[in-house]
Amino acid sequence: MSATIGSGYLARALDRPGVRPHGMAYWLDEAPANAVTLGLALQHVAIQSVYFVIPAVVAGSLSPDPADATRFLALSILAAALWQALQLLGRGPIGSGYPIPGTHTAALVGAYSLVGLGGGGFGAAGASLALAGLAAVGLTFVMRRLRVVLPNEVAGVVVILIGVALVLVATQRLGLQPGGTLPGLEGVGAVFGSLALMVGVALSRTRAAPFAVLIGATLGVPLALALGTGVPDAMALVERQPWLALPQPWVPRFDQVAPVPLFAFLVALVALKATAAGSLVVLQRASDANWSRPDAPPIRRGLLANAAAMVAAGVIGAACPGPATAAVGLSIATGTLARRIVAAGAAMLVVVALCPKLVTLFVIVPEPVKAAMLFYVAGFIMAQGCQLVTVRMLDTRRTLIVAFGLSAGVAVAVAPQAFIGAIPVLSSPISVGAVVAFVVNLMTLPLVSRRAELDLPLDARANRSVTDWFDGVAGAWALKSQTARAVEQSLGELTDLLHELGSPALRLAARLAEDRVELTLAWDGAALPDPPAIASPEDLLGPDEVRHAFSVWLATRQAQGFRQRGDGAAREAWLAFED
Amino acid sequence: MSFECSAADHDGARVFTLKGRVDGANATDMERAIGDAFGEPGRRAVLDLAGLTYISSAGLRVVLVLAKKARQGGGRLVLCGLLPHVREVFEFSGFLKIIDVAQDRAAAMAALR
Repeated sequence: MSATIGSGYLARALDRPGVRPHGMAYWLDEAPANAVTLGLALQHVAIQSVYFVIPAVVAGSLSPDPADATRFLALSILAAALWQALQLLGRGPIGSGYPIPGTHTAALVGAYSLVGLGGGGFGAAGASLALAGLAAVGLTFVMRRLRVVLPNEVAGVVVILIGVALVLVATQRLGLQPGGTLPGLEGVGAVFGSLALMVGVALSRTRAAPFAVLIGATLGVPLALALGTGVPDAMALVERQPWLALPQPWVPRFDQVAPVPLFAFLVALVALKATAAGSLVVLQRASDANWSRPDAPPIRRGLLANAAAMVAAGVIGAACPGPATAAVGLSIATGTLARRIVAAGAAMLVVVALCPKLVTLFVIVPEPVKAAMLFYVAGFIMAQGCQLVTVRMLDTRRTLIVAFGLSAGVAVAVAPQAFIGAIPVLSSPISVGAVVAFVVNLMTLPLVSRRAELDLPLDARANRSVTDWFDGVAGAWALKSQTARAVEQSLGELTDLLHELGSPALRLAARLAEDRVELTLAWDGAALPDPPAIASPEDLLGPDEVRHAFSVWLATRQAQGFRQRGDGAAREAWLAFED
Repeated sequence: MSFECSAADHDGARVFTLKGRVDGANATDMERAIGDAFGEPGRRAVLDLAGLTYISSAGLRVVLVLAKKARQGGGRLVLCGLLPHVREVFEFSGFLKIIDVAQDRAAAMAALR
């Protein structure tokens, strides 16, 4: 089995088959009617378009030219469509196969600002993103136990700080940061007016509620224009753009990559990995009625697709794509998880990207309205982060991870100019908070390790003894009941088998790590047979060796890993179970 | 609790109520207790496993043998009341594809009619 798991790191054959959840309107492979598909896809695109404000804002930090912003946004929409399409792939080592809409991530806003501050343009930003994407590809294979290095608390801190970074950007757009021009009463009025419209629609309990940001922004634009806070010559900018044009990529300028912004891109990978993994797990959980724990191969392929899309976006000079968590939430809430919907949505995004006139509309949104959108979206992102942080009981160690991570990130957000001036590499709240939370987590990992041991004779009572013993261990370690049952099933099965194979005694050690339980079984006697790749109930009626192999298969069925070794008659088997 | 089994007849079907745990040490007791359920052709039986807290592959084997006997004799076997973690073992092992399982005893009896 260890060989199977090793070679099947990304293999689709190892995907756990899902069960259709009750009440699902359209499950993964189901095909809604064309009109329904288009309507639901359009709804996704509407939500995704809220995040178009992110590349629009990023473009502003790289170039003051609205035409550059339109070009960057068009390329970025294409990158989001590619992200979405890659996730949908049903063959090969890339793509989770899950219908997850893509959009633009806010995690790199600070890193892009650093490129702009250093005099770099879209080519330098693209090159930095491509390099970060390559690093993300590598990390997909290196960070095998993602939950250990990126537990919920670290991911939650990162998500909260993404929200904080967006607030920082919003205040910069409004001129509230040092060096900016303070907005007049009209600007402030446009911000609060737009926000009031968004909140009003969100609380309306109507079908329009999910589109609160989009509707609020659409109504906020005429309000801002009426208050005189619009972009000068906005309509002329739109009129100058053609209806149809291929977005022109920016050639990545690797020669212009500077170490400080590149470091910020690399540090933000913690945030990017965490949000991508979070969306993949949420979708996996929603699409399988029998979901009990993350199924690793589709998540790894999803992370690989995420990294590949980053590289592609960098190569064409687009903004970094990532999952549209709000659109994922909408799919789950409405029970519409058909891949067909998201495929149609990807096609729609491509159409939008090819229409510069349409894209420019997002660029000319007045700054107060953009700021209102950022404030609103930031609030929801921070709330999601809070939920992530509190998924598990916050003991002292986990509280410290959250406390240090948030404090460090907020310190940067409160005084960004001080960090930009003194330590540019530490001028992004997300980068600093993520690194601090990440390091505190790793440094305190040894504190959670616990061990328990048992020596027992292998007789007719051994199965009962070993499962009773582990029941006590599981209680003392506060393991999930599902983990305890899986381990007890495995231990009982192996104990029965070793007794049948004639081993006289068993020495058992259990170790609790951050996210899993590791078992080591030691005995003198025959080796355990290798489990078959596929087992059938009929194996139980076959010869002893086939029946024994079935027994090992059943014992290791829920294990993350299994291996055994022997030295003479002394044998040892190792199993790990995710908790 | 070790393994316990009681049997009763309801509506022409034999209902076996199993409690405790079935492992390599007592699977033969289980086989002895329920093995004659399909001694005559066309018999119908229910295994109520609501009180079963653990089953190993040795116990699964007994259930499989019983299901085969039922099929060969033109009878019918339905399992019911499986606790979630016991159901998971049956599911992982592929048993749910070849053996009828009902939510509870009433549903099992209804399935036999």
